[in-house]
Amino acid sequence: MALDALGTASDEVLLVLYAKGDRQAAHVLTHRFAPRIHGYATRLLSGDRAEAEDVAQEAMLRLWRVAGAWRQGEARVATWLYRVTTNLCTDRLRGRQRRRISADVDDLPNLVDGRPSAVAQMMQVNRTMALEFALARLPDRQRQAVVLRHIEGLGNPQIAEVMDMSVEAVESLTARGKRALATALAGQRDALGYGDDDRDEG
Amino acid sequence: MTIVTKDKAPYDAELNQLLAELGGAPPSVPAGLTARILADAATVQAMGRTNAQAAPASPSPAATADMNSLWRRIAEAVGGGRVIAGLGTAALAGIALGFLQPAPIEGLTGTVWGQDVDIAVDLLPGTDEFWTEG
Repeated sequence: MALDALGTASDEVLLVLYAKGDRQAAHVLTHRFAPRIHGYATRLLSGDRAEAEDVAQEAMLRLWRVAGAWRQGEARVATWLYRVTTNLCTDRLRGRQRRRISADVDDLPNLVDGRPSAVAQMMQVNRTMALEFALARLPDRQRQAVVLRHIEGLGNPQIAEVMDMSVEAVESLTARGKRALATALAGQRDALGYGDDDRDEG
Repeated sequence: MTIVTKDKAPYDAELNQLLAELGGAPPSVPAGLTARILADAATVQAMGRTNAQAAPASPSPAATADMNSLWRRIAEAVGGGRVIAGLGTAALAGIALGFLQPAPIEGLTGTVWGQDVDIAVDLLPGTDEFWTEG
């Protein structure tokens, strides 16, 4: 199938095409999902990008292997991949003592791509660092829920499927995570870029 | 920018905005990672190791269950697994004796019959005339 046509095909159709031997389908799926699951794994693993690479590669490998048995309509590829990635990250987090956050801070600016230069870029890096720092300090499950909801843009039912819990539990977990984030960021208003605009109400 | 009160956490909307900014800038994927993922895809494809292609090599769980059910029903009809095992053993022993014809068995048949017995049976006697010319 032509690459243009593949670009507009659904994830599930691409997976079926891959299972039937279409190599271009693998390219499209990789470019569609590798950045997302790599970024997601990086955040779940508190900025450990090398380990996140391993997780992303393993998650995609499992997708290739399951392609032939994929049943359209039963699951979404994105949800399946987020779930596998979540489980792989959870296994790794359980298997090792989490690194100290301070050791990872140097890596955090690398999570963003190129930005407008000079002050705006510095401000953006500061925001990103502050937020990534606060995210990395959340409990694992809260971090998963907040990242899936507010960074990856998944809906609560989809997150519930990824995390194997009820929608209500997801809502509760996300709310608690955001409260913890807000508390952690309260003392870093300058880094977040609110210093200049800040003024007391009334 | 939205006003933020000192000594308080950023409001929910602002926090959402900050998080959305992170989502809008997905981290770049290392080139090596993309290459490894695509290499895995090609390997799995080339080896035909996707689940659907591997399935015919081994029976599905449903097929295995059907076979188990069939054997169970046969065993129950005959009288149980031990009876089937006994019948199987007897059948194998009979075949072995027929082919090998050990000396003690030949002696036993000689005692019973008293002489060597040749049995010639013409199963299709009417066909002889077809082979005779003229």
